[in-house]
Amino acid sequence: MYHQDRGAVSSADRDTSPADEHLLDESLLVEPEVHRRPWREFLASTPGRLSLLAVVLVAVALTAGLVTSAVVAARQQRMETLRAHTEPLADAAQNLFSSLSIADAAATSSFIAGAIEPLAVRDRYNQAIGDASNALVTASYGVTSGDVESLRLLTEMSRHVAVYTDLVATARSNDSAGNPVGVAYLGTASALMQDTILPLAERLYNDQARAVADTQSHTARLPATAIIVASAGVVVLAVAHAYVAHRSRRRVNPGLACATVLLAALVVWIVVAGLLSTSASERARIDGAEPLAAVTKARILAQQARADETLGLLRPGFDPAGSDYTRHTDALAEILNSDASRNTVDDASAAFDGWRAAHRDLQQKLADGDYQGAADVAVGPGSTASTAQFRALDEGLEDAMTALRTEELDAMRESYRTMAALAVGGIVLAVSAALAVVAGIEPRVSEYH
Amino acid sequence: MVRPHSDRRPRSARLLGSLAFGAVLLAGCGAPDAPTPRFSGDFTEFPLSAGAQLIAPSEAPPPATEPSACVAQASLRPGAPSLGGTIDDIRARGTVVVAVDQNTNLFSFRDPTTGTLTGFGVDLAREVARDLLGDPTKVEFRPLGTDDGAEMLAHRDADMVVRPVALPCEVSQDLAFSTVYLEASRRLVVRDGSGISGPADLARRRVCTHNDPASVSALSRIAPKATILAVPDWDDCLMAIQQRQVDAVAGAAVLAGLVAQDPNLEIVGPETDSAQYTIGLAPGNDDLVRFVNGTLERLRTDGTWTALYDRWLSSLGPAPGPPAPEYRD
Repeated sequence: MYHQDRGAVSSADRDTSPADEHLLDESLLVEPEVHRRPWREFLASTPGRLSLLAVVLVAVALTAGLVTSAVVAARQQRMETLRAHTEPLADAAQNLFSSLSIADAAATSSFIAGAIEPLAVRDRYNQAIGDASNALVTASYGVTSGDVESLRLLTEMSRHVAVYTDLVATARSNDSAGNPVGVAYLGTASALMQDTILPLAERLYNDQARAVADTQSHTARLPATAIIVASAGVVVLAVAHAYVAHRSRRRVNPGLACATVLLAALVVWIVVAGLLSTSASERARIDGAEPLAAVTKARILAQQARADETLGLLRPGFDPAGSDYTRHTDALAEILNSDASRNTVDDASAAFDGWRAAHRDLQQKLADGDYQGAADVAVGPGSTASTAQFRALDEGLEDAMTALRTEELDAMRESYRTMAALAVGGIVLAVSAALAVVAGIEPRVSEYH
Repeated sequence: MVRPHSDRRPRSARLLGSLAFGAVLLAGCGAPDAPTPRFSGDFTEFPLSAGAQLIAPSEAPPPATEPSACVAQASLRPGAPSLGGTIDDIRARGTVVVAVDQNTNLFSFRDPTTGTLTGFGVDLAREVARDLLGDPTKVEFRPLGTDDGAEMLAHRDADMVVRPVALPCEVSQDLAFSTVYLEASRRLVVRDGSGISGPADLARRRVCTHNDPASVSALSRIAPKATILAVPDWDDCLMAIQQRQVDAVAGAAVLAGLVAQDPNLEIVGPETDSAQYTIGLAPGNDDLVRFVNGTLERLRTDGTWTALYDRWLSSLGPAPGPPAPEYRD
């Protein structure tokens, strides 16, 4: 190769003119039209046009299939992320928020002497702190390293919860030693919970709940791109069928008709599955996520009001008008009476009214100087006492939350399931349609050979 | 000669290509991935109690109020009650309604083990009921807020107010006062071995006291260079000193209730500046004022006062003897 090159160059050096002439002749002989002419002739001919049409129609069918598959796969991926990641994270944030407020309500009620079952209240506190610690780690597991805000919320909460448990433990040991300073420790712990930790937990929960709602409202939209592309494919195939059938003087071209029907079936599939799936997504949001967020807030407000009630008994004069209790229960009443949650919390609403009546009784006894009577109402036995009414309220709200979450998860699963086969099914239908196109046009082309 | 040359070009191109690919990889994976943030800070101090406020030492010279200006005004001399007054109302009702703070150890507090209200101030109220109704248990206690109780008295929600708070220098016109039932030195509670022995050692330190005007102004007078932590309950001060948030607690009779809850605390300081405690009553109720003063007179003379002092306040020192009453008529 090397020697030949060198030989060629040197021969050109030695004898230039004949080589130049020869090269020029060659380039003149290469005429572009010479190469194009057979194509042009072929395309101008009927079999050529039919072949080109076949290629275009195959491309249309495959595009419809690929677009449908891509759109549906992206949507399913989003739903899978919601199911496997975003929603459990929101649930962990909700658990954290709830268990922290439960811990505070339990800690304050266990301090009132003569409590109905101090062991049960203490168990409840320990359980709630355990749940909260679990939820802290679970919630942080799903936070990406870029989400500095969520990480900051979680680190602050983790730090404050450690201080909180320390303060409650000191309060307890002072209380059991007969030192009234225990109540001061408890008051400081409760203030830390109510004024610092719970607002942080609420922010985290709101962020996560919003992420769930965002995905749900996004997946509640019909896959318009897929419907438009596939419908356009049907129109193109139908027009092509009419053209080919007319040219071949037959009423029906079985291949093209079959391809049109297949692609039309794809459109119907997308629309039907899309309607079912989006309505399920919408149901997950309207009947699941949104009332769940409202009931979660209600339960936390109830726990906060319970802590206000018992702390008010321990530190009378600190908030003599009971303004914290009133503020929390008013917000709770607003949620229970709102349309979003009315149907799910009937039992809870009845218990809530009973609890408010018990609290008025308690306040009256306290104002009359009957401390023991007030304490009996607050933590004593009896179906009309605060403890029983509050427990019924809390259980009602907890049941409602469980039911709403089940509803939400079911709807999300249904939304996923109704579209699950479409990603693969779209490709299968499109490939079948493409094969039908070829099968429909190939005999017409071969007629000309 | 040339063959290796013509061979090297694709190799260098391959090298360049792989370098470019590596750069793309680095740019693609390295850049948008933010480093995991680190969180740090100073977490050594626990939160202050709810409602606590820090008062920085003022640059201005301390107010020239003489301690002698803060003594109680003379009260009414005990005498036979006239008919048809407040006393008859109380007797008709059958109970004396007394507003008390319920969170001050040894003075008026709920015993955590029994749940009952007890203390020096509570016993005092019971002695009034003994004289008024013949039964020391005929007392209804109402929780007192952080105010001085004048509003409760004005609304007739309470007959009298017993508060572990010394009389302020500017006496409110909304309250009438009994004679002084307790007088105690303003001293300090410190941790054992803290090196603080008096107000002079408090400069540039943090000191806790109750957020009533008398306690705060007394503290800023004796320790003008100290930062004051003013809290709504005396037990918040105990918590603050246990949590090392303050170096000392300034107060008078209530200090007994703090050291009783923690053996690592001691009372120090000179016994000079004294705080006086009186029972608050509605103004214009001269009958009741005279009656309460009569009960206090009985306690001073029949030995009950010393018995109460020994029961509740002995950690302040041996009973000094009841304060002498001052009457204006």
